[in-house]
Amino acid sequence: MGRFWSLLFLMVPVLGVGIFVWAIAGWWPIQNHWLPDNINDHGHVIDSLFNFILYLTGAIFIATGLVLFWFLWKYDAAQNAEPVKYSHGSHTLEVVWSIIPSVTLLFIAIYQMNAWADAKLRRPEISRTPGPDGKLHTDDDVVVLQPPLAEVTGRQFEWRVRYAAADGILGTEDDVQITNELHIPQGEDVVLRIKSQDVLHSFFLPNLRIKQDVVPGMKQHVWFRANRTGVYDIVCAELCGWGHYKMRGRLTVEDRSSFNRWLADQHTKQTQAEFQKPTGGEE
Amino acid sequence: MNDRWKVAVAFLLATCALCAGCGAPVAEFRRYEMYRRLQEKSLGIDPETKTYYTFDAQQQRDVDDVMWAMFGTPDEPSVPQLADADVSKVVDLNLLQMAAGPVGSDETGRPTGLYREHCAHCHGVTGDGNGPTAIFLNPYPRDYRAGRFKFKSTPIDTRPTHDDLKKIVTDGIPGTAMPSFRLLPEQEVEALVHYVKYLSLRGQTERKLYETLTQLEAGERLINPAAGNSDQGQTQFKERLGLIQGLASEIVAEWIGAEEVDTHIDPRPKLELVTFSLPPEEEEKSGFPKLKEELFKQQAVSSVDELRSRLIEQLGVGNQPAEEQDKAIAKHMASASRQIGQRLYYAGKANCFSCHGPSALGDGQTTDYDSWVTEFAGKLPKRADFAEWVALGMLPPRNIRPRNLRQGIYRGGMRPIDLYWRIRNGIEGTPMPGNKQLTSEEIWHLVNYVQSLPYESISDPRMAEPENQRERM
Amino acid sequence: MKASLLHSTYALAVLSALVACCGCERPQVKAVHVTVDSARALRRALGEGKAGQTASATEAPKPTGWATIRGRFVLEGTAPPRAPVSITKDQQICAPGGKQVLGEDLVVDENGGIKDVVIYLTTKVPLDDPAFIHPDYEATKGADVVFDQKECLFLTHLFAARTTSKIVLKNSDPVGHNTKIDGKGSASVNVNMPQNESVAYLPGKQSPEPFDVSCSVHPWMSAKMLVRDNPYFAVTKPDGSFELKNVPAGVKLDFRVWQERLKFIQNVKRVAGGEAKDEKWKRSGYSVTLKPDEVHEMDIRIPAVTR
Repeated sequence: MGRFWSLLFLMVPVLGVGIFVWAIAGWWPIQNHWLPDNINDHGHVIDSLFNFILYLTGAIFIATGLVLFWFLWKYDAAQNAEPVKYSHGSHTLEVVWSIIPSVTLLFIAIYQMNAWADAKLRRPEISRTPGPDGKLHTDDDVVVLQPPLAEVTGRQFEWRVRYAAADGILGTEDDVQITNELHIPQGEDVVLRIKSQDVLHSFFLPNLRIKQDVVPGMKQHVWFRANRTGVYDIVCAELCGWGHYKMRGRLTVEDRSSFNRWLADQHTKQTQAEFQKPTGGEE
Repeated sequence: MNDRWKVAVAFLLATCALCAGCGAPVAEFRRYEMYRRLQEKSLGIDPETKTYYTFDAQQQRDVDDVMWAMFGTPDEPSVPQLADADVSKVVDLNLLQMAAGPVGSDETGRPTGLYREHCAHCHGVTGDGNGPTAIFLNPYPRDYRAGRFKFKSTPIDTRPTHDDLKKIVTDGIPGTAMPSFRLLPEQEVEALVHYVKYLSLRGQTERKLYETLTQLEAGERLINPAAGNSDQGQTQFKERLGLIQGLASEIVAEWIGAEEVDTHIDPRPKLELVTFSLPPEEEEKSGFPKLKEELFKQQAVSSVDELRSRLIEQLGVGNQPAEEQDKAIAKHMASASRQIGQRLYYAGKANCFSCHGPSALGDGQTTDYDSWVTEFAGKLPKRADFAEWVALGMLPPRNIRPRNLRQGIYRGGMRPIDLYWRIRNGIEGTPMPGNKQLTSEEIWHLVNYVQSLPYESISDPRMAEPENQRERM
Repeated sequence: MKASLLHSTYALAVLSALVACCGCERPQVKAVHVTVDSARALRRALGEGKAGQTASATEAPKPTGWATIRGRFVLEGTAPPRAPVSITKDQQICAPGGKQVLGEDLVVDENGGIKDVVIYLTTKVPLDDPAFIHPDYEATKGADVVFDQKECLFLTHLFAARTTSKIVLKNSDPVGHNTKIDGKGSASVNVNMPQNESVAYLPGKQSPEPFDVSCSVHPWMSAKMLVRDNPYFAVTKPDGSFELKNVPAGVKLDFRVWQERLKFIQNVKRVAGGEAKDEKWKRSGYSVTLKPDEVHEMDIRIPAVTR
C-alpha cells in the first residue's frame, strides 16, 4: 500500500513533464496550447526569459520529485522493520539548501532586468543629443521620445482606440476614434498610450508579448515592433466585471501604405457630412 | 473523527444537490404587464371595489394565444402572414432562426442562439430591457417593445431603418454598456438586427392587443377560435381576426415605410470662399448664406474678392503661398461658423442652453424622465408613483439628463451627419426636440459649434499636461 | 465524541440552510402559458394569409335627420383640491409676481360642473356621406385651429380637433418652449417652439383616446389632445356644459366620455325629471339612437371616485 503512494507521487513529475512535452509538440488533443506566434522584434526577450525560468525550475522540480519518490519508496513502512531514529537534522544541509535557491533567485532577478528594462524603461526615442556635459547617454541628454501612435482606453467591456492621426497629437479634432480595432504599421517602432476609463483592465497582446495592466488614473505606454502582417487578438487579462470574457479586440498589422490608407478611410467615414440613401434594391 | 466528517460531507452534498437543480428552464416570453395595467387604468375606477377595472383572465389568455399564434416562442419564432403587409421585408425567418433558440449550432455548423448569447442578459429574452444584468447598468438597456429607438436617421414617431439598427449593433453606443459587435461575422450581425425588429414587432402588437381589450365589455372574449358552430360565431371570429391582422399590418407597414422616409442630408458647405460664390438657387442648399452675410457685414465689403483681400490683410498672410492663405481663411470661416452656432445655442431660436445648460454641461434640466417612464408613471411622476410600475417589471426610474456636450462622447455616433440628425429630428423618447425651424445652414453651424466644444480649453485642461502624469478622472 | 458530532452536524445544517436560502427575490413578471388548442387554431387561421373579413358589408341604416345632444357633467361629492405645481424655470415669466399655478387635471366650479370633459363619437361613420356629416361641419373641416401657450401654460387644456383641420401650434411667450406631443394613433412630434412662432401639426390618423402634450423645458406644462376623423366631439366649458349639434339621427351611435382624472366614465347618475337614476355605461361607450330634431338632454352626475 505504501509503495502505491510513492508511485502515485512519481506520477506528478512524470505526467507534469509529459503534459509540457505534449503541449510543446502540439499533438492532438493538446493543440495551440503553447506560446502563440511571436511577431514582436522585442518579444524574444520575454520568450527567452520564460523558457529559461521554465527549464531551470523544471529541472529542479523533476529533481525534487524524483528524490521524493526515492525516499518514499526506500523508507516505506512495510519494508522497513527498524525503529525510527530521531535526528537533530543536519545543519550543513539546511545551509546548503537555503543558499542555493537564494542564489538562484538572485540570479533570475538580475537576469530578468534586461527584459524589464526593454519592456518598461527603454521607450523608443526619435533623437537623443548630448546635454550640457557633452556626453551621450547621461541623465542630462536632450531626448525626444517617440509620440504614441494611438491611445487605447479600456472600458467595460471594450477597447476604445484613438489615433493621433495626421497631426500626430492626441486629443485634437482630427483624431480617428474607433472601437475594438487596432491597426499597426509593420516593421516600425510603435508606441501606444493606454489608460482606463473605469476599472482595472489589462491590455494583452499575446502575439506581441505585451501585457500591461491599465490602472484607472494612470497613463502608461507600451511599445513594440511588429515584424509580420496578419490579424491577431487583443484580450483583457484582468477581471473587470461580468463582460471580461468578451472584452476582445482585433489587432491588424499591415504595411505602412495600407495602414495610411486605412486611417485616411476611417477619417473620411468619421467626418461624413452628407448622406444619401443607397438607391436600388436592398437584399 | 471519521464518522463526523462523513455525516457532515453527506449533509453538505445533499444540500448542494437540492439547491442546484437539474437542467435549464425553457426560455419563455414575459407578458407586457405594465402596458396591460396602463390600459386597465384608462378604464377608470369601479365604484364597487374602489379599484381600477381589470381585464378578465380569459381575455388575457386570448391575448397570450394570439401572441403565440403570431410570433411563436423564444426557441421557435414565427412571423404572422399578413395579406396587407409583407413581413419578410422587415424580418427574415432564416436569420431569425439563427438568432433564436438556445446557444449552439446546427448540423451545418450554422450558429443558433445568437440573441441569447450576446443580447439577452441585458435586453431580456422578451426584449424588454430587463435582463438579469440590466439592473446594474446606467443607462438601462433599451426596451424594444414600444418600437421606439433613440438613435436613428428618421424623425420622431417613425421606425428606425435597418441600417440605423445595424450601425448601433456594429459600433456600440459609447458612454453606455452597449458594446460594439464589429468583430462578429456580418451574417450574425444581420441575424441580431432582424431579431431585434422581430421583438419590436411582437411588443408593439401586444400593446395594440391590450388597447383593443379596453373596447371590450367585461366577459367579452377578444377572439374565440372555438366558436365555429354558429354562423354568427364564425362571422365574429373572422371579424376579430381581420381586426387583429389589421393591427399587425399597420405596425409592419410602419417598419416598411421607415425605409422610404427621406433622411438625406445635403453636403456640409465647405469652408472655402468659393462657397460664397454659388448661384442663388444653390445657395440655400449647399451654401452658407448667413455666414456670407455676416462676414460681409463684419468686413464691410460687398463682394467675395473684396472679402478675400480684406481677410488676407487682416490675418497677416499677405506674403504667403496661396495654400497657406486658403488655410488661414478656412480657419477664420470655421471660427465664424462656430460663433453663429454659439449664438443659436444661447439665443431663442434653438434654445439649447435651457436644457443643455449655459456651460453646455447638460445641467440645465435634470428633473425629467424618458418616455419609457413617463408613458406609465405620468409626466411629473413622484417617488410614490413608481412603486406600482416597479412591481410590474419597470426598472427603478432615473432622471434623464441632457448630454454633457463638453465630453465629446456622442451616443448616436460622432460623425457630422449623426449630430445633424440629432438636431434636426430630435431624439425619440427623450425631451430632445426636433428643430424644423432651423435651416440646413443653421444646423451645420450648430454642429460645428458642438463639435468644437470638447476641444475648448475649458473642457479638458488635462490635454495640455505632460506625459506620464497621474491622471485625475 | 457524540456531543461534538451533534454540534458539528448542527453547525453544518445551519450553513447549508444559509446556502439554500441565499439571494433575494427581485420582482419578476410571470411567464406566459398558452391554451394549446386555441393557439394552434389561431395560428392555422392566421397562417392562411388571407385578409380577415372586414365588418359586414350589409347595408348600414341611413340617418333620418339631425338631432342635438346637450347637457352638463357635474361631480358628485367633494372635488379633490387642485394641487399647486412647482415652477422650476423662468419664474419671472411663468409665475409673474409669485402667483400660484394650480394643476388642471380636475377643474370643478362652485356648482360641481367639471371642465374639460370630452364626449366623442366612436362609431365609424362614412366621412364623405352628407347624410352622416352635416354640411355645417363639412364647410369648416379644413379650418385653422390654434393651440397656444402663454405664461408657460397651454391655453386649451383639452384640445379636440378633426384630422382634417389645420392644427397650428403657437408660442405666445417671450421664452422658447418645445411642444412634445405623444400621440396615441395620431402622430407624435417633439418640436422646438421659439418665442412667438407657430408650427403646423399634422396628426395623420385619429386617436382612440386623448393623448399627452407637454413641454420638456417647463415640465409642469401639460395638456391633452384628441384628434378625430368625424366632427362629433365636444369639450365641456368651465361650468360643465356642452352642446353637440347636428348629430345624425336614426342610427345607433356610441359615445365615449373621458376626463383626465376620472378616465372613461362608466358609472353615472342621470338626472331626469328631478330624480337621479343610477346608470352604468358600456366600456365601449354610451349608446343612443336619436330621433330627428330631438334634443337629447344629458344631465349627468359623476361620483368623485379617484385614486
